[in-house]
Amino acid sequence: MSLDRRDVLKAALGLGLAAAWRLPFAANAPVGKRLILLELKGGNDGLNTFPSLNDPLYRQLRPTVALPKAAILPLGQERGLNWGLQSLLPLWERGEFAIVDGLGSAKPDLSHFWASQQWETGNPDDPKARIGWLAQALASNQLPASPASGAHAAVFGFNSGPLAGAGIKLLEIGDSSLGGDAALPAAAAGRVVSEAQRHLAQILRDWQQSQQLMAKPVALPKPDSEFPDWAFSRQLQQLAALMVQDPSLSVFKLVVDGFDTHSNQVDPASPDQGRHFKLLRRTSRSLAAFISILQKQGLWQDTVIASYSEFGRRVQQNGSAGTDHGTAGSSFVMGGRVRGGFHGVLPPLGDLDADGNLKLKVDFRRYYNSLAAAMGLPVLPFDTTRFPALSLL
Amino acid sequence: MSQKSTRIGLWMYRFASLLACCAITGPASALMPAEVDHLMQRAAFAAAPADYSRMAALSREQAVDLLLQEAAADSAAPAMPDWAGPPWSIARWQHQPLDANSKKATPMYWAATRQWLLNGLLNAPSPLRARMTLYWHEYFPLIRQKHAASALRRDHRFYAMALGDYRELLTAFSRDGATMENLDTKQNRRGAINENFARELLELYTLGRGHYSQGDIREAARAFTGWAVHRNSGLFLVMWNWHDFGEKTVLGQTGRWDGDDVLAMLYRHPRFAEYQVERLWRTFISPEPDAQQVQRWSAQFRQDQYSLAKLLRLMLNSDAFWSAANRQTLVKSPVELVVGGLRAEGVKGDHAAWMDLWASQMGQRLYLAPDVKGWRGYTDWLTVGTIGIRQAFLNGMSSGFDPSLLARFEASGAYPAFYPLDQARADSAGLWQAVEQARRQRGSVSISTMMAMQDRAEPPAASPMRNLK
Repeated sequence: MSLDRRDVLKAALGLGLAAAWRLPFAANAPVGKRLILLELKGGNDGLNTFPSLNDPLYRQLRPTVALPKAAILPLGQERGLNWGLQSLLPLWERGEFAIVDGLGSAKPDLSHFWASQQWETGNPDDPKARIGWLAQALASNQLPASPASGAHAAVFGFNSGPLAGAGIKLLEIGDSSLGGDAALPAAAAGRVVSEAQRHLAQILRDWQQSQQLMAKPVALPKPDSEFPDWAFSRQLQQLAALMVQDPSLSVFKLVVDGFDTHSNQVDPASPDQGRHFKLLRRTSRSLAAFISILQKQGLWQDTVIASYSEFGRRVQQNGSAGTDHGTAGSSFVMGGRVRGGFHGVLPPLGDLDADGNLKLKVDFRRYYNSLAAAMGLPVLPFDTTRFPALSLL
Repeated sequence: MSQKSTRIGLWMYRFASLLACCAITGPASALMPAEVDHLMQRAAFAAAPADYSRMAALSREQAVDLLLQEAAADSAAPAMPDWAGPPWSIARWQHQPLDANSKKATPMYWAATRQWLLNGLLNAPSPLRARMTLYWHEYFPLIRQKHAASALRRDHRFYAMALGDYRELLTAFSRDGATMENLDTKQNRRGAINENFARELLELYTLGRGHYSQGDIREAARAFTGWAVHRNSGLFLVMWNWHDFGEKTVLGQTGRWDGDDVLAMLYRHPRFAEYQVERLWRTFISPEPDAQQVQRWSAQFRQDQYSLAKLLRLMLNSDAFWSAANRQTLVKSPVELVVGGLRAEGVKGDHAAWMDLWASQMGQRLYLAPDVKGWRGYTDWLTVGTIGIRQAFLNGMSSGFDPSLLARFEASGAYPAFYPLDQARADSAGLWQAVEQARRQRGSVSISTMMAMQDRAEPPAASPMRNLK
């Protein structure tokens, strides 16, 4: 390591410590509570994730895409679980797995871009809105930044979505291992003058600080089951380590892509070959291993993992053994203190809107209100009396 | 490593003698390599190795004129792929069902479109024209278009118009099919006004906020009713049965205006020239335009019949452009960084998939701006998330790409489906071979790489200052 970089690192550490001492202690800081937002990108099909066991319309409208009975794990008399989520069944049995039905936007949009924009900003009315609902909530409730990382929240992947804007500081973990060496040239450091140079210098310092943080070796307990070998598993392992490296960080966002199942969603001949099943299985196995680590570390009680997706899918299947973009869908919430079971209302398959899509039963703002309540964040960027929280905890 | 240090030592000797030559015999105003660097990084992505030698004996004015002459001579846009041809072409019809309806094929066409533009920017005979084509691409952002072919054809058109009469460019923009799809022009009809096109025309492309009223937008939208493109031919036409022939008051003038009348009104408006001068200032000179200078240049711009080439000549020769206070005040966009990175090593050819991978990872996927305002650019390009990737690219261009880098890209989960990993590995190896071959031919690493390298042990890393320009 060259001399100049050592100096820069020292400066960065010094800055970090100094910043920590200057931070005010906010009385309403959610001590120890953690929220992990899991974006299921592409539009997850709620009807096949938590299928109906007895509704004849389900099999009528989806002759080959409806899950075969053998591929459904019953959750009571009426509904079941896609067997891809088998790894999470123990959570349901312990009452730590909640399903929210009929969840969607008051102004459904079938475009990935605009629907995502609505969900991320918590605002179905303004197509120009760009600031994330959770970023606004963190800012309005004055959640303090974590002293170790200087960040309010951590985002895995490139789309900060609900955590974008509002002046909050994010720890962005695209791929920390991608970084090369980037010390400020010793000479230039003394001559920083333009705003661009100042900004570059600051970003380099922040980046080195986050690299340092992520590089600290953390001994994690062995999970109860194996992590499948894919990027999302590695991100969850990084997240588990981050939760130890930076205990004051309380908000996280991850994303799993691939839910836009226009074709080959289900393979009726071999149910374990369908795209949706495979994706759900990998995701749930990764989550199960991750959750077992959190349980062993005593973090599960205060953690909430909440999924969301930009829309559900059409009830009627299309011509490619898949489904097209739809409206309301089902999300799931897991955590040590979550009230397991069914919440919301499943939209009846016999009462569809003019486009043949499910009617909205629960506005997503109520879902967000519930998650914010779990974190102790009373101030939200929408009217909380109009959109009361569900009793998820 | 002694071979390398010998080579570097040899190069430094050559550099020193070049400098000495200039000091003794060259004209007093001859460009120093750092100035060639400054000019080319701003106006042409980066200085290619050949640029240093061919500009060594030139003054600033001569170098700028050289760039403009090249641009004038290069008026043929990079060849359009056959699937992007006009809607009536046979080749297009062969692809049409895929382009229009297949969800699977459409991402393939968008990848091909991005790569067409990236290769075009890298291999253009005139890097200034290429830079201006990128400028217009970013100035008129496209978001979530359905049809890749019309977007490609628009940039193909703009290539030839990039340095011409600004009014002609704006008219071509307004009549273009991709614009109409993006801004709902065809949905705008008498009795069912859609203000989208008129709003963005006034707010983002010609006058800027504060120089028109909401009423102006509404009335201008009425004037543009009926504007459309023919479905099969893609040619501009006006559906007069949808047109609102009534009296309209736009920017204080009343009459039975149609779309062309409104455009003519905008072209006469004093803000029209100023707005463009300000935008170009922020792109080429510094983040804060000097109001007086802007006024002077706008007046000249109007006098020169809105010739963009003449305006650029004015700007690139100005004290503001060359001032030390304005160096390193702008941030390179991802596309500038990757195209410039290859150009700086004298590498040409088909490296589009590679460039697309890096630029997308750095946050700029062409033809997919975040919203109608486009990429904010400037310091927005530098975040904790993107700085690592930018540095990895810069280091890779200096000393070779780490083979495990691609595996880490794939593991990051953001790896694009259109670019198979083994293809990327082959392209990485091929690109590095090209770089090494070019260096061997020149007998050294490129000057810009030399300037970028820090004085440290192997492997040399690129200075993060290369993120700025």
